[in-house]
Amino acid sequence: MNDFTRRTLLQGGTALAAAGALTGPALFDFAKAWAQTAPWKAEKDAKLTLMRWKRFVPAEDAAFNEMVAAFKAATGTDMNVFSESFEDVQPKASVAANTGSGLDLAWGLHTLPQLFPTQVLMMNDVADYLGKKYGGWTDAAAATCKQGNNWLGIPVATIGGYLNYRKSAVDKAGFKEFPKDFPGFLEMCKALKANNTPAGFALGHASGDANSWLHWVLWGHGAYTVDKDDKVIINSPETMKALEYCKALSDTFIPGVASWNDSSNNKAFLAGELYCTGNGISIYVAAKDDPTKKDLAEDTYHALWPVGPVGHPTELQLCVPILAFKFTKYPNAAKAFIAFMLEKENFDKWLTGARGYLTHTLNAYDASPVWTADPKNYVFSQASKRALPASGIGTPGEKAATAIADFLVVDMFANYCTGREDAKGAIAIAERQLKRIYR
Amino acid sequence: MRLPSLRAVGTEAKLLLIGIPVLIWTMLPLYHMFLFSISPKDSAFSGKLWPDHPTLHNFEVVLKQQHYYLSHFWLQLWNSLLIAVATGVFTLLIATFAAFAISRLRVKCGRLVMNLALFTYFIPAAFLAVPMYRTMGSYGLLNSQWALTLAMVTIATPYSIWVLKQSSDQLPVELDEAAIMDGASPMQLFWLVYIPLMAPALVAVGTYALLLAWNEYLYAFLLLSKDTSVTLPVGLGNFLAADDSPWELLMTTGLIYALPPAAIYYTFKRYMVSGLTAGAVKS
Repeated sequence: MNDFTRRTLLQGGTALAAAGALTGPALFDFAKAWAQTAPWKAEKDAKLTLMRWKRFVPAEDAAFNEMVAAFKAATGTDMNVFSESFEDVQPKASVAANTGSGLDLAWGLHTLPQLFPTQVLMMNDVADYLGKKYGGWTDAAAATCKQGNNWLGIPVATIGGYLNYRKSAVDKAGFKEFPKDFPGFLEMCKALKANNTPAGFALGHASGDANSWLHWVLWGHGAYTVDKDDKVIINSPETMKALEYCKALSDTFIPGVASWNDSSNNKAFLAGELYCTGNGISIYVAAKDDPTKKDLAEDTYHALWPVGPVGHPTELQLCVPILAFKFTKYPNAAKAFIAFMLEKENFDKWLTGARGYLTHTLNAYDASPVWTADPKNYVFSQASKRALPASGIGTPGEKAATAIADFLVVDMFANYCTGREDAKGAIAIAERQLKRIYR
Repeated sequence: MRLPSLRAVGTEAKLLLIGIPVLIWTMLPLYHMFLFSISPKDSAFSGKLWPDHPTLHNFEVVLKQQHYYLSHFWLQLWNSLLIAVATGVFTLLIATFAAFAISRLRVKCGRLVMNLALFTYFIPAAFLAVPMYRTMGSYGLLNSQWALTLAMVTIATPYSIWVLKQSSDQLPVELDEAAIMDGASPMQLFWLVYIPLMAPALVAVGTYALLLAWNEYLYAFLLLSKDTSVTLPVGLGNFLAADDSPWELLMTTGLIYALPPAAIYYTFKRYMVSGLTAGAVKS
């Protein structure tokens, strides 16, 4: 996390200038022109209340606020924007959905629009407009927001998590390039441990980090919690193989990972105790922003998650979809705002402000300047393309979200890797809990 | 000097055996919070009982709003204070009039009102949060500090009426009769006789309502949204938005926030005990 200082502001401003983004009067001119030709005309005297997740990069927040101000000036829509921490977005959106008041737009995580499909405004026209204009949506993003042929929300972005490693340690371990498959990755972790430069991945209740890497291991072996009909299929030979692989990996980890939360690996990596872990770009950004960690920042690199035996990427990445409630009095204004957010003139600037924390879900933004401004950012541009929806091959929705929120997959792996249960016992516990959710 | 008996020593030892673990159990989280607040960021999680380099830097960061999450610290603290004081004042006003009317003026249906006041406590306050959200939405009060103040007054008033009624039942009715004989109107009876005699209970009830609102999280989280209108406990929740939360600042802010209620409680402790238990036992 960064302090909001003059330095970070200047960094953000410099990056935006480098991106050739519209700012100030030019942005307002664009917004006015856009409002004249947009397919959705905001209702007269429209007022929108938008709840979003708490920003963690000041420059992203600044770019977003500027976009909101431009939209307000161009359409006359009064915008009331406030933010909540990740954990608080869903309960507050649920209260609004169930009472039919309080919010017009909610911007949350994972499968938020799937939690109340009857309460949301269909976004088919917005998705169609943006998809056609910007090269189509990534598969995972579309699956996260669609129910049948209907778009329940718009997948604005993905918060990517990838491998963060110290290049000097990986070189010393004898790997000229980062492994691209599971066996190679295991060998590298063993070599890192032998050199006393260990890797470490959370086996505790770390909502983001633990869920993402352990679903990657599970899915990479072709194992899933449920099949496409939402039948629980966790008890499978593939899951057994995933457990064995994870156990072998965890034997190479730095001690203490069983109690790690989302911040533990950040701290250990920045303290120079950890040499490879799964995380967002926050470790690198924190190192870059700290003048005392210049060497560490230079030695920190990112890599894609290696591909498992299934032969294709199987990553769990955090999608951040936005939805409009159907009880909003201003549906056109809501749709116009969402479309306006994702227009190139706004979105490139916003992505640049996010410094790699956020990844696009529209294919045309592969060329966004943020991915080339620093070569170490590039890996994160792949997050949405290589991801599966949070439900794996099952139906995205409340049940899949509950399984993740309750750490069922995480606990299954942790139970086995820490010796609390044997493999069959760990799978049986997960199966029982999954059947309770999916009954 | 007479030595204590074996039985007395045994009783004392039993009390100590229970008291010491309870004291440690109670103080440990507070000590942990204090420890974080005086630890540098790098050593906050060191697990030591005392930091190698204790510092007040965290307090400086909080008080000068030098962190991104603390950019509205003073405003949010002010919001907490404003809502807590307003809740205390409105609760006192409503509960005092109600208790006076029921206990001294003996209005019709007073007993029913008392029973209804008690009945409200059969429903946990958390269950009413969503209906309250809807109600405030209907009145256009969402994200207004009035919403939280009114919600807190709604929750605090029934218990306050009950306590004040029990307390005022203790006052001799002859005082009222003497005042009425001297020509006092009901309002004069209220201001000149009732209020002065009820002071301890009023302080207790006011403090109770104030602390209730000061410590509230759920309703504050639901009814208030903007960073500039939320109370500090809700603002503290934002610290957990990042995957590298500044725990030392979170604990420092928490410690600062815990100081006013502790000071209020110890200032008015005498009234709290006597006021809240008044009428509990019939003399």
